[in-house]
Amino acid sequence: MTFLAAIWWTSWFLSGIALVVMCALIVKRVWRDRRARRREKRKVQLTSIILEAVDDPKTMEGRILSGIDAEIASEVVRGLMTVVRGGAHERLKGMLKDVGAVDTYLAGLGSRDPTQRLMAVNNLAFFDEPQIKARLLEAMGTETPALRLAIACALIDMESDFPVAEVVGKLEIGVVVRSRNLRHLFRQMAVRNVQGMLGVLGETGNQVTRILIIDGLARAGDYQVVPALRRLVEDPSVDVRAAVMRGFAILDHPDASAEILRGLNDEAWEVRVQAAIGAGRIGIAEAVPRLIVLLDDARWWVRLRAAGALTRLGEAGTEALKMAAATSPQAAEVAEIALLEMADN
Amino acid sequence: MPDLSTLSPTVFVVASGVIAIGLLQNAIYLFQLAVAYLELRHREPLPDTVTNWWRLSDGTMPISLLAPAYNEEATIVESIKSLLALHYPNFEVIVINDGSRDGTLATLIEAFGLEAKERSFDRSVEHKPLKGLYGSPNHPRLLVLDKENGGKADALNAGINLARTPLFCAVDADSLLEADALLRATQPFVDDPDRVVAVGGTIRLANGCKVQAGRVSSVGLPRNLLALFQVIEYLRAFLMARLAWSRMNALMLISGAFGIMRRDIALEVGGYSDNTVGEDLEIIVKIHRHLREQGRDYDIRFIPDPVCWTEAPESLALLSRQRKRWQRGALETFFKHWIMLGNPRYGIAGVVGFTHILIADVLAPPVEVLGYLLMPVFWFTGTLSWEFLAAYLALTFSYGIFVSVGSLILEEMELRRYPHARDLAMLTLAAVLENFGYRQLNNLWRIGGWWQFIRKAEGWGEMTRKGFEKGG
Repeated sequence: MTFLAAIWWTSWFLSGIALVVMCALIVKRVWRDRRARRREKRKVQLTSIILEAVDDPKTMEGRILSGIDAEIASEVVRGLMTVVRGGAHERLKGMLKDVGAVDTYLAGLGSRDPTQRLMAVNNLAFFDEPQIKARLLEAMGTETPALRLAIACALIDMESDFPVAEVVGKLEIGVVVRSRNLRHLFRQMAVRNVQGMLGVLGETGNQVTRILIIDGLARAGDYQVVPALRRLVEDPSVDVRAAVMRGFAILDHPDASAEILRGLNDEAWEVRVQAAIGAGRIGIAEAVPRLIVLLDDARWWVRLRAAGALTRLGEAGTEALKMAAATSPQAAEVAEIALLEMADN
Repeated sequence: MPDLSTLSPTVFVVASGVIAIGLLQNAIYLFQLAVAYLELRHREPLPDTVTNWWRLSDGTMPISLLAPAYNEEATIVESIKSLLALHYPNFEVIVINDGSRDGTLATLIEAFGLEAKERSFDRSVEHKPLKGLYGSPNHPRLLVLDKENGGKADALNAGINLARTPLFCAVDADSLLEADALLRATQPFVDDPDRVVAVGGTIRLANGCKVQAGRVSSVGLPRNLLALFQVIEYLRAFLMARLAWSRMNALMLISGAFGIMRRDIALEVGGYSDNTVGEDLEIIVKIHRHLREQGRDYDIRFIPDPVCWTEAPESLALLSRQRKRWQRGALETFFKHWIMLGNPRYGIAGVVGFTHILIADVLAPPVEVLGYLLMPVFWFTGTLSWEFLAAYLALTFSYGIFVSVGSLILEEMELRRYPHARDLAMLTLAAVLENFGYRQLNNLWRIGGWWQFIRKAEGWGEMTRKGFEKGG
């Protein structure tokens, strides 16, 4: 067969295969749609039985759900568990165990389909038991960043002790997991275990991890973190110093005044921006002279935030801003924005 | 009658050229199908929307939806209402009235109770003068920017200037985004915030679907044959081609109807270029070029799950105008950035992505049309063997069936958006038939686009909208 003839025959072969596969998929779809309709009908029936059992567990006594019924029941119960609390939640958990759902979820951790693994992780989050926690920690070795994060979130959802150092280590932040959702996770971890987080902050050399911890601790609102943040004010990393200033602003604690004033003189504009925000939020009147100087900073963001801070420092700050605006066109530009936004609020 | 025996070497060269381009194109399609399949199989796990919202909304980034509008009086209110109802924690909608000559602005002012508003912004990219800015106390997420007419790119640039969010999403004024489309489409920015600079989602055709309160309430197929063929085309383009290039970081186009970009990167490249009708293609190529020249690590992604529904032209006149414009835009972009062609300095974007533009957009249309004209003549006059003709017919028709049906297979295996088995059957039939006439017509229109490019034609032409079919 010549090359040209091969092109001809190959094309019809490939087209024929494609059409056969498509026909098979259409037939499969017909079957799948019918099965879905039957399943939906059975789901309605099981939902009413389950809801009755939530109110009165005796109605489920002696009733064994297996096969497809167990699968549908797990789905219904799992959905209900996201909207109920207290005794009803515990009864639903018991039902999931009775239908063997927990074993199914544990098996799902080993599925080749990452979406199935993710669903298994989200489902297992309801079961705060040592062997489940151990399996989840083991599953954090996955290559899929979203799964590692989901497992960490599932572990934090559990009531019992949360192994901060181990989870942070397994996340491999910046290498495997780079998600912005880490902030949410770290904020939750900080609320649960301030000491654990402070411990990791003191030991880790990972800059991103340190910034996340600073953010989380600041938002946890526990003032015992102020000394730890003070120690980082002269960190060689600009991002860490900026995070520290931001943390002080969030904590809104006057004990940070000296550090904020130092930050207003930092060589890095990112740090000066955060320090200006902090000065306004905490209400550091001593910052006014330096903030006026920053109205002529080379960076627009520093000028804008300095102006904003002055509007929050009472009449003295606002008057100082207006006077500076009268003498400097750069100051006038950001003063106008800051005063307009102040009026809007 | 000419001496045909002397044409044989010429015939051989022309025929071989046509066959070679056809083979190359189909080899690329086969490759794309395989890569797209792998990408769909191994794509990031997708949490359900409820989980996405309550667990992950903290990590989402604020976003500005930029909706340029020109003479959209009939549909603008419904479109903007649907944008305002998107499920996303922190976003604003900036409608840019680009010098409409109908009552677009007046309609918006009345419908949303708009009032004049002040907002400072940095004029980082140039655009035509502004005439006014409006906001509404009842709709704090909505801003309407009125400006002199300057075209879509110009309008988008004005929107980029006004936006204060790290991301912006360029949408068409008549785009219908699914409720969780933004949540899904911004996920790559959340997962990899330092590298991802742009993300595109799938565009599907709303022709034949029922639309209720700005949402597609029921997916259906168009009754219009042209629109039906376009459904297959869009599946090929999005599910096959873009997915494949995205996996290789050689994605050269994100649709202007639904594309999200980092604002800082868009500003670095000077925003959208106003000297092309293919501004959506051109900005992505520009971004590749800029970041490669700077040696920065970056990613431009396409994800198939967030969906934007749009209306496809159902008449030959409108469709041909659209396709000529797309071709013109592709050529303008290609010749503007020709330095990237096959150039290792631009990595896979230059060597593979841009080379693909050369093959698919620059060479293929004229070569294919040449084939339509000459190959039958050559065979009929006895100067072309049956084998050559058979190979040509295979490359023109039957490989196309394989590629189109292949895309449909991907859709059914991984996404399953069409609710009924009969829809699949209809689409399969369309996937076969589109290769016998529709595809050839498309290439003729693309030659029209070539002609417009050579004549340096400008502007979009009039694109009138039929409007969506109401559900309920």
